[in-house]
Amino acid sequence: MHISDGILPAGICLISDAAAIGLVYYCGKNLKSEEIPKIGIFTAAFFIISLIHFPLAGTSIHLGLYGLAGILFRKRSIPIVFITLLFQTLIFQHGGFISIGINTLIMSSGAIIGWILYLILPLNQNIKAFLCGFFGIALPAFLVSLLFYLLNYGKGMIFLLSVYLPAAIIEGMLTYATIILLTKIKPEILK
Amino acid sequence: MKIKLVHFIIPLFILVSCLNAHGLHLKLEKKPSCINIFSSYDGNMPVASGKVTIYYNNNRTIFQTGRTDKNGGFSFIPDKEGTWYFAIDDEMGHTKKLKIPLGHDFFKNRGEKKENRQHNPTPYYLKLFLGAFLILLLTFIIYFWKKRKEKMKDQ
Repeated sequence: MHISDGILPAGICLISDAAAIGLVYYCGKNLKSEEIPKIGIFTAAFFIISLIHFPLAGTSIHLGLYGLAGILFRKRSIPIVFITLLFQTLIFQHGGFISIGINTLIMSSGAIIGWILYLILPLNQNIKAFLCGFFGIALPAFLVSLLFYLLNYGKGMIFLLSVYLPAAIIEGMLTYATIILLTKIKPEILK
Repeated sequence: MKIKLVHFIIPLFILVSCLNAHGLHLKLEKKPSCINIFSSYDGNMPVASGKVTIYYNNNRTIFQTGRTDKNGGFSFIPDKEGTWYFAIDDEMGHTKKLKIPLGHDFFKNRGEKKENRQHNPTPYYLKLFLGAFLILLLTFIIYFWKKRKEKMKDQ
């Protein structure tokens, strides 16, 4: 789902870069030293997990766990998404340096929706976890497909969304399993 | 035995290290008669039917357009010396561009049986661990810097 350099107009990329830097700064400021090790370990885990891919419909889709990041780190999940994307660009050439802003904003939307849904939904914790994981990938996929549709690029909105639907279900299940596990072994992490 | 977070994280690292990622990779093969390019995602999954554009000297003059075959392959026959560009777009948001410099030797050797393979990527697993290591290193640097700052403030 990373958008490579050269697909979007430079103007959109630069504006989104500025917006993403502002958002990352706002969400990462006043970081307490005791938060740093937890954030670092989970960022490394998210970096690795986002490199798992599945071949599907002639392309390859990957996990992100943005919903889980939103549940666990709330607003701190945005710097986590940014760092994960930055290292993916640096080391694996996924996405691009100019388009890192738009990628950060789109993927962060998954973390933000996960964070909000987990806070406001009056449902069982496990069902909420599934929905957060599901929409954590479904929303970024919808935004990417909408952007591609507006720019008249790619194979179409329906195709892209249908490709990411299985990924959203897998993410929902993984988020559900992780929340159950964390509730049992380290419930304080969810507070 | 009490389950700790580390018991969950270590198997996760081991599991994902066995899996693959999805960047675009290009393998260039200079044959005496033509240029072959094989495109793949990480894990050697071919980019089938990827949109290809061939440029000459980056002047945006399109030499050839087309699509990769089922195995992610694409071939073209350059007609002059210079720098050629191969651009691929899988129309799912992933693109890659490859610079192909062709000197006098390439055209001189046409008709001769000579192969020149150019692809020696850094192993995938090395990149994966390098990325995780750099993130953790960055974390420790920020942590100790923050702690030091707090200590100085207390003093």
